[in-house]
Amino acid sequence: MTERDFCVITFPSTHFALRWEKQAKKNNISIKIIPVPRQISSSCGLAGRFSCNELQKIEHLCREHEIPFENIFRFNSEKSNPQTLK
Amino acid sequence: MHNNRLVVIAGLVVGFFGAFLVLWGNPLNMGICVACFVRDIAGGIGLHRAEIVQYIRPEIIGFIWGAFLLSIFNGEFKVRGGSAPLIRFLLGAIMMIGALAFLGCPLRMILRLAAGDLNALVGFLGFSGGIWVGSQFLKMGFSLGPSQVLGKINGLIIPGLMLILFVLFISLPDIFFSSTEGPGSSRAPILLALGAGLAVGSLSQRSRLCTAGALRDLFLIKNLHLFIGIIAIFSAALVGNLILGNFSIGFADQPVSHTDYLWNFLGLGLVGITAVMLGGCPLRQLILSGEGNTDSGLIFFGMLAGAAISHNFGLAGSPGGLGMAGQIAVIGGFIITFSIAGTIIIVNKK
Repeated sequence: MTERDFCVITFPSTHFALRWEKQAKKNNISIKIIPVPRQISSSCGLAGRFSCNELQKIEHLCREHEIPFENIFRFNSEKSNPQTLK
Repeated sequence: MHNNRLVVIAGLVVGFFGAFLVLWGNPLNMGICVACFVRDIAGGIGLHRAEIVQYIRPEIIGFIWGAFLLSIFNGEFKVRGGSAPLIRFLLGAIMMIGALAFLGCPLRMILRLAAGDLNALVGFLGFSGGIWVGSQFLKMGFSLGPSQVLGKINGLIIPGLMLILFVLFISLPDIFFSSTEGPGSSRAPILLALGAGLAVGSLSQRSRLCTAGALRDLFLIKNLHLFIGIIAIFSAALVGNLILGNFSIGFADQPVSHTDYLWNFLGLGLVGITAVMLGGCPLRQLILSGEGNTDSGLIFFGMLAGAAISHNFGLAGSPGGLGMAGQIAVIGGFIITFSIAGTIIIVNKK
């Protein structure tokens, strides 16, 4: 994994993305809410971006706070096509 | 990650057609208006009898088909639906009632502003306020619930109906109601209007251009990506209007517009709130309908119903302002919208 790698998590609705953001910040996990990357979908919802090193913490957070997610993707760079992890 | 170039190109094309479709025959400051054109189609098929706003606008058919064809080509035609259908239908109708109180959707608001109509600036403030309120609903837990994957046939209904409408329109135009005066009688040539619609529809699908999403992302996550598209629409339309001599700054005597500040503000405020709750502005709903989203297809039907209700009961604005019935309808729209949002937020918190 290089420094340019990052992960993106998508949710069934904008509300879950905002709930996820709140919980991640409470737990001091460095994340950012972004528009769903165009490579992933033509939808205009929100997604979460985080370091792939935090993947386990993120999955645990979603389970613990019952936040459903659709997929988690890994990007090698901003413009690359992502790899579906979950 | 976010390709600003694409959203800028889409915005410039929308702004260009917004200005130049007027030269080619569309009403002043109404080169493109999703709410007005859906309202014209509602009149064209006889859902309302306001004689000056009846016409089967090829642009609307083009928006949906542009999105449909490109999404098929890109493999992005994904058929989904089943998320709170009746609420979506109702909010679509309310969104339309708000837009027709202002006399235009958010897209026409930008085009009116680019032609110097300062009433649109009041509308923009209302729209922004509505988006802000809608964004607070999202933060508080508002959600219409997830959609489900549906069979492909479901996603073909709206593009299919639009194809039937267009074929009937060019082969048997006399079966439709058609304005002989007023905005409904000002029309760009059919193929030009359809072509503009296809271009705008496909570019909007590709770029995800959305007037409501632009402000929502700005308020919620301080992201400017979609807002850059709005600036591009405004810039291209401003240049186009200056070239065509269609720029006149002021409040009074603007084409298809009124100076009732409060109701311009509240009308688009209602559009802003409902657009956030529905996940997109009127243009975006048509684009989503084209790419297989049946929830948006139902919102499109809601918009048609809203246009019919608006004109059958005298709720729409006119150059004289917004009448008492229209004012009550907008207030009623807010009450219904807040009740739905409040109930969902409370239920989701339990």
